[in-house]
Amino acid sequence: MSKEACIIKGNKNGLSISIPGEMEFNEVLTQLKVRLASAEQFFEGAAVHVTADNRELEPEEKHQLERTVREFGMVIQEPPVRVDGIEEHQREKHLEEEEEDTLLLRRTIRSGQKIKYDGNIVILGDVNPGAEVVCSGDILVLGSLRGVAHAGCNGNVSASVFAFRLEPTQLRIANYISRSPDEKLPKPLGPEMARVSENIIQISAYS
Amino acid sequence: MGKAIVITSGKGGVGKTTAAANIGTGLAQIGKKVCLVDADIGLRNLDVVMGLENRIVYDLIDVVEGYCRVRQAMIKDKRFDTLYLLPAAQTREKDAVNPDQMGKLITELKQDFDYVIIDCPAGIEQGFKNATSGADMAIVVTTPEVSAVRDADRIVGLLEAQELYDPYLVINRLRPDMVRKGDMMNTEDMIDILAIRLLGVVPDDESIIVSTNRGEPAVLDKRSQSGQAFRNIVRRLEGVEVPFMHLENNSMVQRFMRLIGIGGKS
Amino acid sequence: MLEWLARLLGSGDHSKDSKDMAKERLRLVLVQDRALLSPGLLEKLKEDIVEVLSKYMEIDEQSLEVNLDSSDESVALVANIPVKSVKRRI
Repeated sequence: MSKEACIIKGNKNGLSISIPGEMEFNEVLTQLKVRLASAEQFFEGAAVHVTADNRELEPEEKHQLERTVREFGMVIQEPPVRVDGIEEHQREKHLEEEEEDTLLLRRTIRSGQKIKYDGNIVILGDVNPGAEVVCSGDILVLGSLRGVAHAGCNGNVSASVFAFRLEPTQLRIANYISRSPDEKLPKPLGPEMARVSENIIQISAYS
Repeated sequence: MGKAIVITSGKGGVGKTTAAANIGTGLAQIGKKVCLVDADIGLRNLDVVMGLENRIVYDLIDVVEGYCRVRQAMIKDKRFDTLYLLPAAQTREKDAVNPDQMGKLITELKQDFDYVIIDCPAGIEQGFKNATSGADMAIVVTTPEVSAVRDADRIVGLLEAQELYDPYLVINRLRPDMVRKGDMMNTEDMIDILAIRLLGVVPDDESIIVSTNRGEPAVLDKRSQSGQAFRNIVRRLEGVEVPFMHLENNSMVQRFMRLIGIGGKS
Repeated sequence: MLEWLARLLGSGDHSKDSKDMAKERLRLVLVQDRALLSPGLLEKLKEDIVEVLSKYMEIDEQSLEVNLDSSDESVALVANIPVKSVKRRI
């Protein structure tokens, strides 16, 4: 409690207000008002963003904070309220996924060509029958996928295969294999996504 | 111990793969244990002609390189339990395998099958040497064209160099109407030039294209004329004497005579 | 029209059939193939013959003819070499 409630810091992007995690929200609000009022002109017109340490702000709380800040003539900067602890965690996870490299190919992969990559593959073109696309991550084909696709080849069962026209000769995700049915099926009407669910590869419309 | 037969031609596009698919399927149809081997590394097609392309997981190169056992790479046919396909690799090149490795593989397959039918790539280079190594006999496929017959002749010579003597000849895409008009070499002309034993004559037939589209070998189609020709070929391979189909009748009179049951067989 | 009629009647000059031309051309090309002599090699052979013969006689190079011919399973080298004059002994 002896700890100061709100830390107001300046950095190159403007001001940031950091809210400690444990404090009761009304207390925060009161303290913030006091601090801002003590140097009213100083803060006027400044761009500010508010961060909270290890706590998730309710929408209502967020709204109150923003209103308070605006009352003192400050401009809220995006992201308006950063709930640091939680978001940081999500961002880290996100980064982890991004760390897996993505290979972007702007061409048609033809029969006899094999693309193998440690990471994700994005193809701006078609994958023709007889071609093979293999990677440790996800496969995205912005075109028709008619060849063989193997996503998550190192055993990643959560990998997925996406295509505008998903008509593969064979699909493999991790150790799961599925092949196109022998009888003719109606052509897919729109983008589809394949992933492993209940121990089989399932295809669903992507929306 | 089975027999390994390589289907070859020298020239491309004369119907080697179609012949391999039909002969293999035909043999399975009469109850033989058959393994079709696609030796056309990098340009595999036997899988699509057989309609098995979506079942391929491992291929011949994976077997040779030890990534899987030969049993894992073999694909069981959808129609016959005794018919298997060992697909070629599509993303590799001919030199990914050598004649010694192929010979070993074919010998291994011969233990388990009555017939091992090898679909040879066009050309006379490495791929030809791979496909012929391990074979006990050869079927040379040609069409009634100067270029195809010339290449067939060259192949007969090269087969001898590989110690594959006395090959069979299959004449594919014969057009009886053109033969009758004298605009296409007939069977006799070609046998005269190549001087090898005739195994069969397959008429040019639209049903081959239809059956390839469907991935169903024509030999299974009772109404198809080319299917009949392949069924005859299969029986001849099994040692049955089957008369050749009447494809090259010379005149209306002869055709009529045959129709009423007199006159010889061509 | 006449040709068509002749064919219809099953008579006519069959030596003009394209299949016979095909067979004939094949025969010739196979003779060369089987003898392992390409047209280029045949030309080289011609030159060598001229060179050797020229030591002994003067020959008409323009009307020189060298061909491989086959008759039933055998191939013969047939050369027609007009001689202008025989050189004296050295």
